[in-house]
Amino acid sequence: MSDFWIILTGCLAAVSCGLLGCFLILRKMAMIGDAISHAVLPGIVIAFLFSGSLDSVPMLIGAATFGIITTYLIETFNKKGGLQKDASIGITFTWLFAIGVILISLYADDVHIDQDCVLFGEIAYVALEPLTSFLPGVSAPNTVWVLGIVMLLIIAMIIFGYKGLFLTTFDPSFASTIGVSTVVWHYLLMSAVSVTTVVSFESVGAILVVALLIAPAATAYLITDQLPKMLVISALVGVISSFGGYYLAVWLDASVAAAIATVLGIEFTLVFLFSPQNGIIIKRFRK
Amino acid sequence: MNIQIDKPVLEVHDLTVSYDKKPVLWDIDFTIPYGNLVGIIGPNGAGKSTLIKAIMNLVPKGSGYVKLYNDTLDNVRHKISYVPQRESVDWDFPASVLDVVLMGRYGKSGLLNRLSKKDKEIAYESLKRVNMLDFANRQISQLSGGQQQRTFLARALAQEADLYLMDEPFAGVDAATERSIVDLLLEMRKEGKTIIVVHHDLQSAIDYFDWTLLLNTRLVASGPTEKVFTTELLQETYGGKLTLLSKIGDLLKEKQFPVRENK
Amino acid sequence: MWLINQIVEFFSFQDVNIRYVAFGTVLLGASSALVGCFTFLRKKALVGDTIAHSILPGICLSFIIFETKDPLMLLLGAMVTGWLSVYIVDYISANSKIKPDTAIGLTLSVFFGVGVLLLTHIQHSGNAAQAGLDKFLFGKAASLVQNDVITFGIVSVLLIATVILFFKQFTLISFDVHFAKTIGLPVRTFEVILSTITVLAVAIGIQTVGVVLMAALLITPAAAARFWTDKLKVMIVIAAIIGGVSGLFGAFISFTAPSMPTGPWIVVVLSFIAIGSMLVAPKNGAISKIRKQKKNQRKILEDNILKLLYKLGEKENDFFKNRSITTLKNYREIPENKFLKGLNILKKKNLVALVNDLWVLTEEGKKAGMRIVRIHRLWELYLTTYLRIAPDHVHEDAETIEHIITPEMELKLEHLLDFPEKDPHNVNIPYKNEKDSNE
Repeated sequence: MSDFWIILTGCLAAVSCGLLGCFLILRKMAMIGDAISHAVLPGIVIAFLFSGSLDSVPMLIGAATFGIITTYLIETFNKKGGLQKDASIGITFTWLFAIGVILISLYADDVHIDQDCVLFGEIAYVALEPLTSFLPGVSAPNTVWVLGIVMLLIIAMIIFGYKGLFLTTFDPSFASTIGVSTVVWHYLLMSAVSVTTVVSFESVGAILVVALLIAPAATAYLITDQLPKMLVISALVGVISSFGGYYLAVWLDASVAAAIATVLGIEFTLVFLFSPQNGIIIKRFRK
Repeated sequence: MNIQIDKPVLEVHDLTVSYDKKPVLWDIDFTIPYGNLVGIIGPNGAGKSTLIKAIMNLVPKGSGYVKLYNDTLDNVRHKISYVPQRESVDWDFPASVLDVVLMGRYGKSGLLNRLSKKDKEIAYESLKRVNMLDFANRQISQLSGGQQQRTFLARALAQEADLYLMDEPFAGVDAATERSIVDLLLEMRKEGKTIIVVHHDLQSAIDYFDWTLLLNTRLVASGPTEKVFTTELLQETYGGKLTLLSKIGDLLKEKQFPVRENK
Repeated sequence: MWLINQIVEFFSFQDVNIRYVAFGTVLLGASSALVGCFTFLRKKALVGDTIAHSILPGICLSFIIFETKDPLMLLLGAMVTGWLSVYIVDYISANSKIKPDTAIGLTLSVFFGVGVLLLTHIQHSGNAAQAGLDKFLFGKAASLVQNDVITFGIVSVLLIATVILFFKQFTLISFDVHFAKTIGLPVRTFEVILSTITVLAVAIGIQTVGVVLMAALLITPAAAARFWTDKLKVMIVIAAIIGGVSGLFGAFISFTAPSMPTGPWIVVVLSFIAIGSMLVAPKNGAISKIRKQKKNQRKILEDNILKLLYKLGEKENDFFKNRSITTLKNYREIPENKFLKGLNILKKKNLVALVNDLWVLTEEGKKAGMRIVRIHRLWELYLTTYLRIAPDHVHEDAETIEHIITPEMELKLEHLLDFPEKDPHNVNIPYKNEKDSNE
């Protein structure tokens, strides 16, 4: 049974990240996603210090806040400070992450979060959580509930916000001219990324979150030319890696999160080489 | 030579736009009459794209104002269509030609509503007008330059606007496509639309446009094409930047001086 | 008191350990900063992040294959995967529709994932020899020992020497690759050398600050230094100093509070220096921009008052009449306290005088006012002549430009327009050595 919860957790995180990741890479904001996933650390710690618990709600608020702060700082350093884009991203996230680590070590006794956990998460702990029941007849670990709800919210956001996301991603100038605020959609997306990152931290850790945000979307990008299909394939790639990663970790007796990231890498490599439309080796064959 | 129109569709007054604190458009003043095919001509770096972007509020103004239909942009957006340069978009994006053209209906339909059958009909009609109906389901990454341009045009048509602002619609397009686009624009003009086009080629400008703006950081001329295409005016437009003006621009940037005192 | 003791104890460098840690972190900070300058200039700042994440699998593989924790072997493994990651990022972006930023994020997270997979596998396999491998992840500057410092020292010297030796070539490929190719420079070779020393710097630096923060050691000093100078040679020296100082400060913090992680403190110091530079640096800093704006506003105010007094003099045919502030306010809308402030500044400059509560132009003031008026009218004429702007549209522009035209530009204007007598509104343009209208 515990395998089931672990794999399910991975799948839920994978779907949320896989969907958001498509828009991130299409907007050429993959590294901002990476930055946010690191920079929310101080938000989590502060939320913990304020609320005194590892409850999800204050954490989400802390994370979303720092996600917005990160987005804002990157923009400000770049536009108002005159700093080039890549350096704005680099300086912002390293600074915020450093502050987060310092906060953790200052209040080390109080906080259950430590560096290891933040970076790697320990998805296996999901299996050890007590089961709670928010719906009649259904019991699941807390983490699963939270991830499940976030995933549903993200799916809803993408369904209802599809036109806005599509428009502001493909042609921001045109969007402005018909009166659509690109800024609003940008912050909306980044907030969603912050929330998803934090919710996934405890189980899959920061590094895996980045891999889940980027790799499935990049893989799907090479497989299809249609955005709706890309979204579905991205989620699917993530789910496959969840299964594959779990069994790989069991076999090697290693971290499940890392194994999932490894499987993502394998999936991407296969598609990169053999995808019918874009695979390198397929293209060479055609010549 | 700056001919003023009494009831213009577009009025630009004392417009200055800076890039990185240095003015790239200086005190631009002109009016455009209804129902004309207008060309904006000038050398590279003259500020032609910037002018259109400033009219559409895509870049901030250092001074002056713009009136469309004697009103502000926000009140008349539904009447105006902006066609950006082809390179401003990533054509690797996973979308079909129809997807892009349907974007033209977003303004009227709103972002949260489903597109109606009528919206789709209008999109197909637009594609037909640009001869791209067969390509409706083609992925945009598979299009040639001319086909990409026509997709943008179809999107613009789908907006059902009255005033069209196009940034270099003929750039990198083969002769046949260019001819067919011009024919389309002339058709639109017959329907009473006003079309303003940023254009890079002097030769064809004389054939295409009723009204021409000659631009080189400052407005050299604005008026009916035959009146504006004189040797003197063309020489002034293409004769290089005004040195003193450029120096003053540099000084404004160095001192971080505002373009207008009271700003 | 305690803090002062700590400072004294640390900076006297009497304790051997302190010497090692300080020396090590300073060298690391400085050499990373040096190498990072070129990554920064090539706008590949996040490649440092990629390399940092990609080193881990190499270290683990080295350990697994060669069954040793010999730093040299581990370093070798680190260099191989570090180098591989750079190559892969370029390969992916060049050979598919995947964009560079996606390629970077993809590579770094997958490589790191593989690295953690191997690391946890090693850790769980109960191999006692693996203890300490994870210091590559988080950095433990405080536990640097003599051997480490010797390694750092050698590598840092190597890095600095390479940068000095190939400075010209590195500069060229950072600023203008196309030009470098056209003059026959083997661009590829030097890009490889640059990548190699970057990987080396990262492999060493990670042991101080850990994976996530390594990028900061490369980028942040360069970014900070950029705000202070436009000259590359000066920039890399400033960057090296910033890097070294931050390293030292981090070591100090580690010394006073041993449980504190060194790496993050180094990064926090670096970031403060960078953000501070953004605000404070002359010419490029935000504060200097604000100061320039204030200076501009002052000049505008002074000029406008002088101009007003001169024009009143023209109108009433009396330049040296005494006028009250109330009278003056009628002609130009400026709040009274601002008006008085301006007048007082002009008084200090001897351009106006205060006589019995009434203000009057001095001879110098008249000349100054005349100059501004002259420039205003000349500029209006320039606008109507060369920019073909209608006469009723040039006033606002001239109101602004009159404040910044230099004497050289003034001369140029006069020549261009051939010493005109009237402006576009048919008003006289006053020149020096004109007889006073009074006489």
